[in-house]
Amino acid sequence: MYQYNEFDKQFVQSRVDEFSEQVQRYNAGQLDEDEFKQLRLRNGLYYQRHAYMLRVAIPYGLLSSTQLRQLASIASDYDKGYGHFTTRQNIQYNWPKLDDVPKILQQLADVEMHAIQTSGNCIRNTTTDPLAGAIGDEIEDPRPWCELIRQWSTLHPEFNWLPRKFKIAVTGALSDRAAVQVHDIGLRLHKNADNVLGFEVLVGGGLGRTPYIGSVINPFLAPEHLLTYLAAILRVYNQEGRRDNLYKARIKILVNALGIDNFREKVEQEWQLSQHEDDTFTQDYIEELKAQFPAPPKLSNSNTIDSPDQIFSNPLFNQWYKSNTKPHKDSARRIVLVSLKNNEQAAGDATSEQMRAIADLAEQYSLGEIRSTHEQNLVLAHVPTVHLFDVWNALKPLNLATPNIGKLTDMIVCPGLDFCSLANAGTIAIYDQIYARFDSIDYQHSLGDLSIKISGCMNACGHHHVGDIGILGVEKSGEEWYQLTLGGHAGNEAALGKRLGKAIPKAEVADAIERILETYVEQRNNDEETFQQVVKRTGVQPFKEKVYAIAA
Amino acid sequence: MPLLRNGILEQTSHAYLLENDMAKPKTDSTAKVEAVVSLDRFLEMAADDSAVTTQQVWLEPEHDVALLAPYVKNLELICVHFPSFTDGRGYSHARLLSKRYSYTGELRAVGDIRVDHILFMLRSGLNAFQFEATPNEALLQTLLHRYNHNYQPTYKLPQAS
Ligand code: SF4
Repeated sequence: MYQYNEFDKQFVQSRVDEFSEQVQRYNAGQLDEDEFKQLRLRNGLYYQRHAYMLRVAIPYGLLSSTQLRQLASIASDYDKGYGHFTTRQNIQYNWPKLDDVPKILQQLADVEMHAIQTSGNCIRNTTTDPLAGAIGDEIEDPRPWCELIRQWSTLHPEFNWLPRKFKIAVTGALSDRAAVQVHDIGLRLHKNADNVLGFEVLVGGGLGRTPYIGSVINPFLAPEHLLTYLAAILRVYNQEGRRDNLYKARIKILVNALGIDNFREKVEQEWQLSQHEDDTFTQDYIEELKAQFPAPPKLSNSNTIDSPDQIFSNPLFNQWYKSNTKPHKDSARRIVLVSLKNNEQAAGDATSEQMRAIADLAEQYSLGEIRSTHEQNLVLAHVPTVHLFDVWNALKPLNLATPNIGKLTDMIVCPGLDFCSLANAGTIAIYDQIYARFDSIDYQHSLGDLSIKISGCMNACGHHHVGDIGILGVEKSGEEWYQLTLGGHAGNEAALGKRLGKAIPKAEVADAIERILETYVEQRNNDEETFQQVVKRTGVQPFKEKVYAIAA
Repeated sequence: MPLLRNGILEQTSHAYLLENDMAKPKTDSTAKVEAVVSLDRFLEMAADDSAVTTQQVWLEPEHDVALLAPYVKNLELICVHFPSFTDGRGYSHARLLSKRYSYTGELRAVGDIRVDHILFMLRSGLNAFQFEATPNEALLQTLLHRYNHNYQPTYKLPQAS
């Protein structure tokens, strides 16, 4: 993975010094509340319902064992012993004290990390495929490109005060695991008919109040133009995006108001000139970055499981193997997904102890690296098949081996009422309600892959629009209600879920889900037909009839 | 009025927008003031060649800076108005004027200007900053020279002083 050079180190150190002094000036009354708020937001520090919340950047979801151990220490030294992995592949701490934050940032800087631009109206942490560099369907490793974007977008002087936050996602695989169609800019590395590499550039996707699937602004951008083209889009947005209404300020609203063709024309016009003026990079530089993401050493084929029968005859291991591991491009390795969805912790939470254990496992079995996923799980990407049993045995006692990856209880859940000041609803309680109802792993496996995504308000941090079943918390006369949507998807066949009907009272959410699942099982033609396919084929009507017949 | 120009903090004249060609200084009357015309007024005067009497223009965030391109050679002062420090449009104005249109005169940030942001303003091309209150000079220097590396080389860092 990318190692900081001297410049990067100095840079991050300067940022820590800067923020430490800003906190001092704030405490001394020399910085007013409004200004300090913006300055702290640029360093990932929010003020939430109970306390400050610090969001730490995990650039494109990639961590070393050393870094994860440091995150564990921060959780135990400055928080309540746990951290929360977010849908943007970052980690957040819910209880830091303001005066401790400079110290935390220093500890992060010590392991080549920071919290820059994890909040505020600026370019946020670039996200990517958590299986990059390990999965077989990859055309090009997206991570060097993500690192290039990370550097270029970090404290970019011109684009630090945008109309609204700005999120970029990159994928380099056939199957999109980075949700590029629902980002402000989505980048898809692919090869054209002449086998030449380029980016398909999408713009104006996003969830929130007004969800949109992104539109193609450029079907094939030569990679050497990546940064200047991004800058051209950002400049048009910075100048023309709406600033009068918070809810109309994302680039998707601008793209939609102008129409993609007009928007494209503006960007192209700008780019004709700006590509000769703006920052770019050399071929040597991108090659240098690529060299920092080497392919994992190929294991010899003799490195396979000694006595597979014995291992696979263990049904529990077998179940975990099926749902929580995926084929690696090297057949002597597997990709292991570490589930952060269990019956005891909030979705995406990990304790210091769990983080340390995962860091140790990564060091021992997975080339010392860990990835975070937008589904709020962690990944050990390169585990030799011979060690899968050991890894499983180590994860199990830590409650990290629930065999539910991709399954019903592998829900995406925003922090909701418990932590977020904007929330209408206690999403964590809904997660618990659903989890308790459908705890049976056999039942979950019988349903196949299925995603439930829960947001506590219209801001859609839980990505409910793109869940097979989306759950949105709404407030009606002081009570929590839940609006359900069906058939959403974030991958290649990106689609926004369709509304099922009127909102459901809090106590009845799991009942409604149960009816929905029964309907799915009844309606599907065979075990292969996915939830999304069924909803596409039948519409929401059969689901609606069942859910509201019971509720009535 | 405190003005930071070319790295030096001066007490100097205060730029204000001349409305309808009527002198209406916003500051106390004893201070020397510079009258600056709005972009629209400037373009009107420029269209009528004989009427150009000023080379000082005031830009609002929503203005299209490309309209000034034909005149930048003669302009002496362009005020870029930041109604709020969180409105980032002025950064793009400054970038375009200094980089694309090669404007070399004074490019002054006016409005809600706060010390913690002038490094980015300077890197975007602004070269003068009009403050409401006199900032701490040592702090200014620290803020301007904190970083000795950046990831956007065409947005140059200030020279070490
Ligand atoms: S969706 Fe709403 S409630 Fe949930 S984290 Fe986002 S803003 Fe908060």
